[in-house]
Amino acid sequence: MPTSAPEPLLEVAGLSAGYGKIVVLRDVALTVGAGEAVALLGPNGAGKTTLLRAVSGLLPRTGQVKFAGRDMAGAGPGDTVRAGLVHVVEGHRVFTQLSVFDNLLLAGYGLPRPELTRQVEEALAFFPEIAAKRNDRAVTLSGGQQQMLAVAQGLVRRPKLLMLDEPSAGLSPVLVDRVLAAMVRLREAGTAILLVEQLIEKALAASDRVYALARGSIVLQARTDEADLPNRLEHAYFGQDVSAPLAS
Amino acid sequence: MDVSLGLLTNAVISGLLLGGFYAAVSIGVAISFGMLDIVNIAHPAFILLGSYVAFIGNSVFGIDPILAAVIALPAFYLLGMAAYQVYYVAFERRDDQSLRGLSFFFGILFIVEVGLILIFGVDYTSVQAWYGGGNLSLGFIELPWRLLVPFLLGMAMVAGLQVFLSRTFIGRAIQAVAQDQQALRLMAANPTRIKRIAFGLSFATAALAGAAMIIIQPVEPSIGREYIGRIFAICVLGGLGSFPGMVIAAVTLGIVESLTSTFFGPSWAPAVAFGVLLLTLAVRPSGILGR
Amino acid sequence: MTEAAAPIRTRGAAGTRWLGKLEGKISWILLGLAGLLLPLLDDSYIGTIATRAYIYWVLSAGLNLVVGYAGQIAIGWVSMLTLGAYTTAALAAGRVGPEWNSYLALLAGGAVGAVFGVVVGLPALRLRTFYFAMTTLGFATIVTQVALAWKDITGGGVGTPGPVFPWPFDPGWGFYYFCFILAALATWMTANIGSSRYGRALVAIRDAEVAAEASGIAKPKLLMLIFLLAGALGGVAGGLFSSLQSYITPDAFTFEMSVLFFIGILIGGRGSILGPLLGTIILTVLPEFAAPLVQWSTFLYAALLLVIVLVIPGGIADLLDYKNRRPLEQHREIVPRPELLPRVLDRPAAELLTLKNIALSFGGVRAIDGLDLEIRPGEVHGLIGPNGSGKTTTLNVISGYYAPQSGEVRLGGAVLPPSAAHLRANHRIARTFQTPRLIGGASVLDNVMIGGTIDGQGSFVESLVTLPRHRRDEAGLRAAAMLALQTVGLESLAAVRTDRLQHSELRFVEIARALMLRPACLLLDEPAAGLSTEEIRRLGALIKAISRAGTAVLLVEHHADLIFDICDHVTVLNLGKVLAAGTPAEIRSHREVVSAYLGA
Repeated sequence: MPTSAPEPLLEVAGLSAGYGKIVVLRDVALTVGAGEAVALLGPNGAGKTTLLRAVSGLLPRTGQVKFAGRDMAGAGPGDTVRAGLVHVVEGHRVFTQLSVFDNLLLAGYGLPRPELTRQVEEALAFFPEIAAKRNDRAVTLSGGQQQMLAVAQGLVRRPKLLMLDEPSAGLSPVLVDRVLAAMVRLREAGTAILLVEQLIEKALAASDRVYALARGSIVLQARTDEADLPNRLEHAYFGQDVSAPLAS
Repeated sequence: MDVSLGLLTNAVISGLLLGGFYAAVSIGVAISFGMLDIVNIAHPAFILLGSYVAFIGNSVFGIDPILAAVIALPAFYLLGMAAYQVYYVAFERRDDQSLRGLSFFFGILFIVEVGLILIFGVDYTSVQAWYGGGNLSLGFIELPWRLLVPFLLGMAMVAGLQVFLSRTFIGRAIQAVAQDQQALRLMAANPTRIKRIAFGLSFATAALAGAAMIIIQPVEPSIGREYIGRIFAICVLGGLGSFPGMVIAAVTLGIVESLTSTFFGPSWAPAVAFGVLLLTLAVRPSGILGR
Repeated sequence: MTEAAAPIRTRGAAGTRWLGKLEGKISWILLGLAGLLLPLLDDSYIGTIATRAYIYWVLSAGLNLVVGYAGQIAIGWVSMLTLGAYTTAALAAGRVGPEWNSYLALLAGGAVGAVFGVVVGLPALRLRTFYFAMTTLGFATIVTQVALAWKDITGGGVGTPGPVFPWPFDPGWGFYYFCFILAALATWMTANIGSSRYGRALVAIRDAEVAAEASGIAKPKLLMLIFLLAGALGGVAGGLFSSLQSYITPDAFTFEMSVLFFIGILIGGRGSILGPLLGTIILTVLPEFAAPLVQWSTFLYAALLLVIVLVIPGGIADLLDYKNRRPLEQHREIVPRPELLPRVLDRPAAELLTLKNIALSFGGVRAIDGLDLEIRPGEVHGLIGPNGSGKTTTLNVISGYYAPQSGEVRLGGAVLPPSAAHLRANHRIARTFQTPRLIGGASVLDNVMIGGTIDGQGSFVESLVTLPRHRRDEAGLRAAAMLALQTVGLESLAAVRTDRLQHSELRFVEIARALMLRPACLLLDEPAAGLSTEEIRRLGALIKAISRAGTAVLLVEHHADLIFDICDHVTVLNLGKVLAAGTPAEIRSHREVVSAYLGA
């Protein structure tokens, strides 16, 4: 936890974004501090993936995004990555026909070769399981291993902030724990994390703070050590104007 | 129809060598259509352009046609990049893309062809090179130089590009861009730039293929049309995205065409290519080694 | 919009419709007059050009339905011209048995064209667009090659003379009028199809195939009919061509000609008759201006093609579409009128939809794992659940896009065949889609009329020549569609191009289209996504009213508010199984449901 409160690493304010005519996010604001792990939760269709895409520049957006003190207006995904903000998309999509090593090399597109090789090795060190398969084609990896490869690809750039979109999707509980454990190690090493997840308990256990997104806006923000969080989340998810009483 | 063994052997060998040439002709489309999913039906016209460039180099400057094509490679590469840029800007909205993209390249096909006719006329043109005539004798087999050299050129091109795609950074990126553009964007790679480079390479192969063509036979601008069917038949039969498959398909088509030509007459050749295409689409649309 | 305003609007609309009809007809009247009066110029050169244009148009009119309406890239259609030409010429010249009467030979040419039109068209059912284009090109190459080789019938490279038609259509102005009449006939017939439910169905297959299936449109049968017609017209054009040329050889049927017909339609614009007609005329006349050098005409074709494709993708038709350049009212509100529903849903007894023990796996993943569901008429049944719980998959099983590996779906006791999405409309099962699937280039009214395609009684031939039953169908469909649009509150946008509408309006148009089936069962796939709070409220009221009118409504949604507001019954899915079922109040307080949503 930062003591003297410096500027947050990522600062999002008044963000709106959507797909074509459909507006998904309305006036979203959130921050992530250096070295913090922040969870972004919410029901389906709330706009969590849209939010990550808007921040990383894959989607056009209105509003303000500041990263490491720099105004990211007009920045595309390439600029965002080079600034140190890396987005790992959902669905552990890797280049199936290329080897693990080639996948990682590609993730460092544009970096000078010696630096690149070093950073690839560092990324692999976080995931010894796939380091052992470095020359195998990505298609031979299991779902969990592909997810690890996808995260490792994000690491090649030595990001200051890593945004993970539902890394648990499609994985068994054991593999989910493994991926989240790697995430905790990353955080301990100083990388900030913004984690979008459906599995609330696990996400809360691994994070410092949490935002809840519902129907396109932030409906809750809290520290994960606050009391009564599950109940408050439930309220946030289902909206305040629900007629039926809560069960005890 | 006198089916002598000698005639048969000759036809098969000619077909094999022709297949190598067909590989040279098709590899550009194997890249643009097989890997980038862009239907560049104008590719044959640019091959013809390559032929005429080789001709100019040969007749005006006296240099070897293949050398002339090599000198022209950068220009073709740049031309390909420019063509992709236009295509990208005009058709990036993908809704109606197949029809409009196809029409765009048809337009380019005709314009290039007409341009060549206006400059060079409709008469056949050929080059003078030491391998224009004569055979290489290997025991009882006679390999005509004018078929052997394009065959070797074709094989060299395929091998070279295969190495490029699997060993270099850009090559890997080209393989990846077909699969997941969004992932590439998130890796600070610019998919548009990568595709532009790939398309440029595709055009560059046309220069060399053109030199090969004018070595094999005298050319005139409209023979490009015969090759539309051949090229796409080869790419589909071989399987999109597979160079080895494409080579096998090219050689197969070469042999089938050669046999048909020998025993039924040369005018059936274009129909053979389409027949192979139709058969492949009916029986095994993913091709021999397609993914 | 008040009640009083509505009737006045209808009367006014009828008046403007008459004017609109005349406005549309002006161009035809002018063209017709030009054609009839051309001989007065007494210039046989111009006459020949015009005759050639008519012949090309006879083929292109049919091809227009294939390329412009159905969206099939049939580049090699010149093969029909070749087949028709040689059939007619060979029969009339007595190369196959005795000499035939020229008119009968022409008819035979058309018949041969029809048969091969279907043959060439068959691959379109299985192949991607570009591959189909290649097969048509291949067919054209093969036909030309056969014409070269089959010397007995075709005369080989030397060629064969074309037929001469007797009086009153003898060579010269007589033949000119013959071709003019046939061109006019081709225009009339294809225009009739184009503006009939068949034409709309073709465009639906082209632009919104999934939605077309849900509306009961069977792609194979319809495409084959179109290919048959286009082949027949092409064959007839071929016969006429052989007469015009008076002597045909295989190299008269060039690659350029192949592409010319295609370009003419592209220049004209898709989904239009007038546009491609003008396009074909332009392309026929062009070479005459480029006369000095034959190559220049090819160059001009190519340049024109590039200009259209790059700058005016909609073609001439788009340029002439003044209606859709008028600006739309900015702040439009959607005000549904649920009280009209009894008239819209005027249908026999309601039916119960049941799912029993449905199981479906994709690869190794169990998407649905033993699902039982009952959707009662008169009720709104909500289906909710976290991501990947199987909601949309269930919807797709009910609507016939996926076949379950076990279990069955029944409507009122009758088992619904799995994997038969296009038959669901017959059972009066209608649906909307997660992302609206509508034809952007068509009007809102056309899109809604597509929903009622299966209600048409008239056959293809009746539509071809606008027999009374076709007219009754069209009038009925139009009235029903307007009523549906009034019900959802969008009748003022009926004539507007659908891609100009806001997202929320598109969702209501989909509902109007679904209402056309007078559904016994209505399946709604996340209809509230992207709607404002007020729009969601109105949507909810409309859905509730639809159910109260006797329809069984299944609502898949994420919007908890909407679900809890209007549903009579809610089923919660998780990991493909039913987690809980009951009233909204019961579900809301169900511990496990809350946990599942929160992903414990």
